[in-house]
Amino acid sequence: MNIKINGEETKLPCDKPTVADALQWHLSALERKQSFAVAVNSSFIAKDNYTTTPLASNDCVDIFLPIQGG
Amino acid sequence: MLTQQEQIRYGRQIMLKQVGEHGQLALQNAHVLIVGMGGLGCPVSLYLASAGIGKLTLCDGDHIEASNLQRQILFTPRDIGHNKAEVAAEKLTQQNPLIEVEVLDEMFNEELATCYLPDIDVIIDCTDSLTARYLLNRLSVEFQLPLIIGAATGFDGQTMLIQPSDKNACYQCIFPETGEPQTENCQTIGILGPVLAIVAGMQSLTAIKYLTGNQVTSNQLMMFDGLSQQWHHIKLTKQDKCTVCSN
Ligand SMILES: [Zn+2]
Repeated sequence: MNIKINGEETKLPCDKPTVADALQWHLSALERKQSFAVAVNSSFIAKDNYTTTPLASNDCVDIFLPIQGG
Repeated sequence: MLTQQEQIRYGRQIMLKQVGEHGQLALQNAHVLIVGMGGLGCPVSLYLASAGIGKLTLCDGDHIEASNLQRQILFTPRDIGHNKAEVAAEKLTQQNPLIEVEVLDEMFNEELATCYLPDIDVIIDCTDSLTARYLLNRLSVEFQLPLIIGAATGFDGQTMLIQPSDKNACYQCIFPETGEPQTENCQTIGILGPVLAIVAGMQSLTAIKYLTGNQVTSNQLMMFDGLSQQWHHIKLTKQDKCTVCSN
């Protein structure tokens, strides 16, 4: 299935992917341990819902980090 | 009542129907705490001082360094070595002698919070560390005070208004503390001054709108990408299991 992750076209190798699959695909094990947040089509998805939030074709997944600096 | 001097000085914003004399008086009665007087704190404090916020408390324990001058626009070479909050207060008082500027020349902590927050109307987070932001987030919820967060590194900025309530998300709802250190900051990946100005402008605008009774938006993380020069808004939801803002 084709979705966008942080603006880039990405093909996920599964039929019924969830947010968790997209993260597995996009982030390293170390990155998954650090603080980050996820939005699907600009709506925030809580960590507890990663495995239960299905993705549809052409969904836009944004993975973003807390910025530290000022 | 506004004095004639105030009428003249603030005329261009009083002219706006969303501000008016009523809004100007609200600004003059407000007390805003700015935590962090670096790249965000400099422009935020300049805009709020010049707009006539009645009392500003500036908090920073750092001293000015030569490498700050590229973006911390209140400071000049002769200020190097001096405390940021102290120097800023001096310059802001010159810019607007009608307001009161108070200095806390140390890093913000729980002890200062207990002493100062009861008198504050809005907290503005201009700090450069996540540890400080998590502390301010907790205090904002504890003292039920609006917190306007800002952060920027490289070409990227983020800003968010937290208005503690049973419906509004806090920072911890979005980025739960992991205990894993975040190593990237302005020192490690760099920063452009105008990116800070854009985030600081948004923070100042939110503060002025909030204090003048205009509508402001909670549950929204605004992210700025300086390369494409575009904003991206993320709709947030309060988390029932949040360790900071939910019971
Ligand atoms: Zn929360």
